[in-house]
Amino acid sequence: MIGNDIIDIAYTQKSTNYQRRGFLAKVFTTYEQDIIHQSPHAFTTVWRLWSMKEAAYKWYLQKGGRPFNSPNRIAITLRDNLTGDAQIGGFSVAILSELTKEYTHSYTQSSQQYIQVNEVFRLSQNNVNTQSAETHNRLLARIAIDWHLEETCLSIKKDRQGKPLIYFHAQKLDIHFSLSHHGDFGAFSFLQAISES
Amino acid sequence: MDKEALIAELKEIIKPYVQDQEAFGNLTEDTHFITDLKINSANLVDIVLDTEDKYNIEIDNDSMDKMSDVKSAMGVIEEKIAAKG
Repeated sequence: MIGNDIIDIAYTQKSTNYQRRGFLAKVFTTYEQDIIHQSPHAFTTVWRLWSMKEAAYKWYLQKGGRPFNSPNRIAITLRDNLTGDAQIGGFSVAILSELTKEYTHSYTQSSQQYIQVNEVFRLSQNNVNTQSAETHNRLLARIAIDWHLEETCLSIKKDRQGKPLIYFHAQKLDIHFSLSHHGDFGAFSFLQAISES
Repeated sequence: MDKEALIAELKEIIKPYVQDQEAFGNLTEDTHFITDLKINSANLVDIVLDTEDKYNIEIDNDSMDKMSDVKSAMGVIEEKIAAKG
C-alpha cells in the first residue's frame, strides 16, 4: 500500500484561498488548526498538512477503505519538519514530505521490505486532459527501466473497484504505486520488493 | 424548489472550479465532481462552503461525504433546506 500527493505551490496560491471563512474548520482538526495558527509559515503548513491527508487517503483506499470527502476525518500529527503520522479509519500511517519553493510532495512510508521510489517532474503542459496520461507514462517509463520490461507493453488499467493496476501485456504486475498531478507538476511513488539474492 | 432550478443554481456554484469544460457542458445529475469535472479536492471544499453560504445551511462531515456528484449534492441541499423548516 502506498499513497502520494503533489501540490504545485504557485498553482494553489491562485486556485485556493485557504483564508476564506470556514475553510480551515472544514479541512483540519482543531489540533491541526492550532499547528497552522502557531506556524510562522502558515501557507506552507496548510498545504503540507493537506498533501499529507491526501497521501494518507490514497493509501487508505488501497487498503480497501471506503471513500469519503471530509478531509477532517483524517488526523495528522507532526513529528518534525518533514515527517508525521496520519490517523485514518482506525489505521495509522507514517508520511514524509518533501518541501521546496515550487512544490510539496508527501508520500506514505513503507516497511523496510521494500525500496520506495518517489519522483517529481514538471509536466510538459498544464492541461487537465493530458496531465493524467503524462503522469501514467512517466511512471511506466520508470517501471520499464527498473523491471527491464518493454515500455510499450506496459499499461495502466482500472479494476472493477476503480483501482489502477499495471499490466505487462495481459499480465497483472504486483507493483504498489500511487500517482498525483497538480498544476505544472506530476509525481509518482512505487514500491519495489527487495530481492532475496 | 424544482429540480431544474436547483441544477441551474448548483451549476453556478461549481462553474468557477470546473476544469473540464466539455464535461460541464454535458452536465447531468450523474456527473461526478472529481472524475468527470476534474474539480480538485481543495475546490470541493470551496463548493461546500459556497453552498452553505448560498442556502444558509450547514453541511456537516456526513453530508459532505455524500456530495460526490450533482444528484447527491442536490439531495443534500434539499434535505438541509427542508430541515430548516
